[in-house]
Amino acid sequence: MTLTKALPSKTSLWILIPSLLAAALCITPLVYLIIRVSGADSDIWEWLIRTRTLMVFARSILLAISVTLLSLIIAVPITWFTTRTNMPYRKLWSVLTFLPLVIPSYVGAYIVLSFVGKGGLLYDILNPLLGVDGIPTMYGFYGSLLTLSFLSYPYIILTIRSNISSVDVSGEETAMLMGLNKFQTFIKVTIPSIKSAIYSGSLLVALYTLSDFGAVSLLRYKTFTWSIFNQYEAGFDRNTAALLSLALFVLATLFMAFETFLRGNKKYYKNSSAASRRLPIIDIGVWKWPAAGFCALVSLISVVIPLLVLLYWLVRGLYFGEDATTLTAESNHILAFNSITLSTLTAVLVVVLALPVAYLSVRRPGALTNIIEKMCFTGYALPSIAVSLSLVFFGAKIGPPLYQSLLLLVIACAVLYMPTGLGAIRSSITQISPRYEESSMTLGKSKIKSAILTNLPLMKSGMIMAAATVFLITMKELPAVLLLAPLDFHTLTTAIWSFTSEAFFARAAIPSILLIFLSSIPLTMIVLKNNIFNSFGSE
Amino acid sequence: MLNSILQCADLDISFGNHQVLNNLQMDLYPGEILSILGPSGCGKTTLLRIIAGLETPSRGTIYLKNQKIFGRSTNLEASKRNIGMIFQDYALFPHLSVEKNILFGISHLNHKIQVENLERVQKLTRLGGLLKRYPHELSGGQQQRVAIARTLATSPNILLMDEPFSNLDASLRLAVRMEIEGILRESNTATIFVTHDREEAFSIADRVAVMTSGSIKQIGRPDQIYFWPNSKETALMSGSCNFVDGIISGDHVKTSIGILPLRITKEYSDNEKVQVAIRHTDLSMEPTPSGENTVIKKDFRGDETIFWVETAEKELIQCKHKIHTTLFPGLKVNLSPVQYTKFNVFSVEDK
Repeated sequence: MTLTKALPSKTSLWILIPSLLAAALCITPLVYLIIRVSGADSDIWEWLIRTRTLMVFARSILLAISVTLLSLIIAVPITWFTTRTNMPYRKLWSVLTFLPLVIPSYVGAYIVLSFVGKGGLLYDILNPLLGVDGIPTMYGFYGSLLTLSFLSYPYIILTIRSNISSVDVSGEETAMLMGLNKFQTFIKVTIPSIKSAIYSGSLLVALYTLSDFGAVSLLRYKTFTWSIFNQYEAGFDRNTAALLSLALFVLATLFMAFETFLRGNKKYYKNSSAASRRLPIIDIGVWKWPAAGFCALVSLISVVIPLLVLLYWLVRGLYFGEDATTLTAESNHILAFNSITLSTLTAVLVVVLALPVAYLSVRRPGALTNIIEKMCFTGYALPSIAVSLSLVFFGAKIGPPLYQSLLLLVIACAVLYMPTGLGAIRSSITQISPRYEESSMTLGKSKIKSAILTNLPLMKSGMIMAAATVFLITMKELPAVLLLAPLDFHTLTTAIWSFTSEAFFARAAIPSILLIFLSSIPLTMIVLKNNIFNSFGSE
Repeated sequence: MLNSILQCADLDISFGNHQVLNNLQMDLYPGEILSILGPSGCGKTTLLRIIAGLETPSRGTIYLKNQKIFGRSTNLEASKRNIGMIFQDYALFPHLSVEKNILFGISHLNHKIQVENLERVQKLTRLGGLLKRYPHELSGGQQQRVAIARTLATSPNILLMDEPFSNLDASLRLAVRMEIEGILRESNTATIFVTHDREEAFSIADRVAVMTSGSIKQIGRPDQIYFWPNSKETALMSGSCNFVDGIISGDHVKTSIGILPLRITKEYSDNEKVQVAIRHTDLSMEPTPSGENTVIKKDFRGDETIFWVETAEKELIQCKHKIHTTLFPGLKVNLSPVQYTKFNVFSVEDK
């Protein structure tokens, strides 16, 4: 391919240069990890195939696959019940099964530990009954599996729901007319039509599990992220931490490749004329009661109990004077302020970086655009701990003012959540007709002026959505803050993490509740804006 | 010959392996309305986009007011060509009011001139009461008038319109068409509009250009295109048409339905085999038991009825007829040319 063909046509440098800068920033952590590893002694490669390291591989893969399967078992029936059947209280279950999204994994682990763990809520009750050995331990594989599954199943529900319009109603009707019963139709027509949504939802959960650090480290299940952090903390050979990070990146990439392979090149087209039809509600008879029971059980485990546990510790803390401020010098409002500052700065940076890239990818597709976009998606496959670690090394090499600065932390978060922001902004540009821009050019405005004058005003809500989403997930970010925060910079997440790892359950309650509350604000905004619960399944 | 305001010569463009324009030639004269008539996918929208500067051809030249705007080493940016373009969906800026939409292209001029221009075009397009409204509050016809006003406010050298009436309800189309023609005539702006609708092309335009597979096949007054098509393709584009075999004999042509008078004589030599173009209205039907042609299908369409008639030579001819009750499939009929009708013939090689 010649260079002129590789370059996106008619691209103004005003858009190309910022895009290249954004791409360069996003690729820096990965590149630096590669440089670091290739510069290290060759014996670290032997270290990679040692049994202990291989066990870490095995545990990570086992956990990712198990969590994905359990999430599917939870999410697929709930999605079907709440969108397509006459199960009672569908809207209530829709909302409740959505809420675990605001609970970060380490808060989930904190809730599990403070509920059934040693010194936890149930511990004092169960101890006399079962004895110490009889209490099921939450540490290790099963605790991690349950915690992560009950936190991440909403990702699958959301992915299927946002693709629910791809369900081919006329296909279902045709199947019924050809004599298939409801169950056969569901298996043969409905499931295949949402297959690709199921795959991408599963990938989200698998990557979430693979890159999770908070839950597995609190629940002491020795996966990749835990090992990387330990190698780094122990500090004798940081190159092994870099190598592990790269291996984790490769593993995540393999998961993505596997999903692409499963999905194949098949496209499930549907008749466009049927696009706007409302999905018919299916009468499932007496089965609606067990269905509602299932949704109630999942809601109880993943939402109601966690909230009650949090409230219990809050009340206990307030009444028994276990003051949340005793461990660190900061009071909760400073922690909250720091969390908000970090999330706001990250949201703004992501939007600024994503704008030119999203514009290029929608309006000026080409080989170069493709490369730029791929580079900006690094954060999708490079887990938080790896990005943070790389930037720690990088910052240490560069030194002040970058080293241990808030800026470096914001950059790390921006690299991590660039894919999210880019996706949201990209889809808002996709909805704007390119004719506006062309009209503007024929009316005498230059290319760059036309691009700005016609797109930006129409993208306002897309940009706010992107910022809100990035804000929401940055609030929950743990490894980056642990590794990169300036010395005196503590956030809600670091406070929860350090209180929980030392079993100060009452002290972790206030920051946890604050974090959930603050995350709920942008989440509510996103929900209201996208009509997540209104556009389907309601009577 | 008048000096043309726009000249396109030798234009080529391909998308991937698909050649969309193929050595296209075209010109436009001041104040005229030229319609480009062609089936969908023939490249007519691409041609407009090339003229506007939104696509870059691989070869050719474009002159606007005797100035080269595209050529081997020239490619004037769209924003500097001052060519107005009205898109099929009008592309009104949804976040701006009608007034702001109209002022968009002249926002760099001083306030007084802006106001004058606004006044001029809103009078021309009769948008008086709508200036404060937003595009989504307007009907299709009103949106189109705003799009025209917005473009005319910049006093464009020429105006391009892409399928201007295709987005309108069939019931509105005629009224809007007449209204738009009035505006264009009054503003005296040279205009090219593309359409796949023959009636639209004929009724507004001073000249019609018939375009198929990337090049213009014939260009001329609407009646020229209809009565003197230069190929079978143009004949089909300019009106419904059947083709039957014939043999030239003097100023007539012999066919399976009889001897028909030629429109152009001495074009082909005697006894040469040709194809005869027969419009639906060219023949009249006479039921008679001894007739050699059989009605095989009757298609009632309200204002008229189309009959499929099979000739002795098994050729199919469609005939338009007003009365339908006495004619029915199975009937034997005689076909004869309607009085004064003359026929076009084409070489058998012409596809």
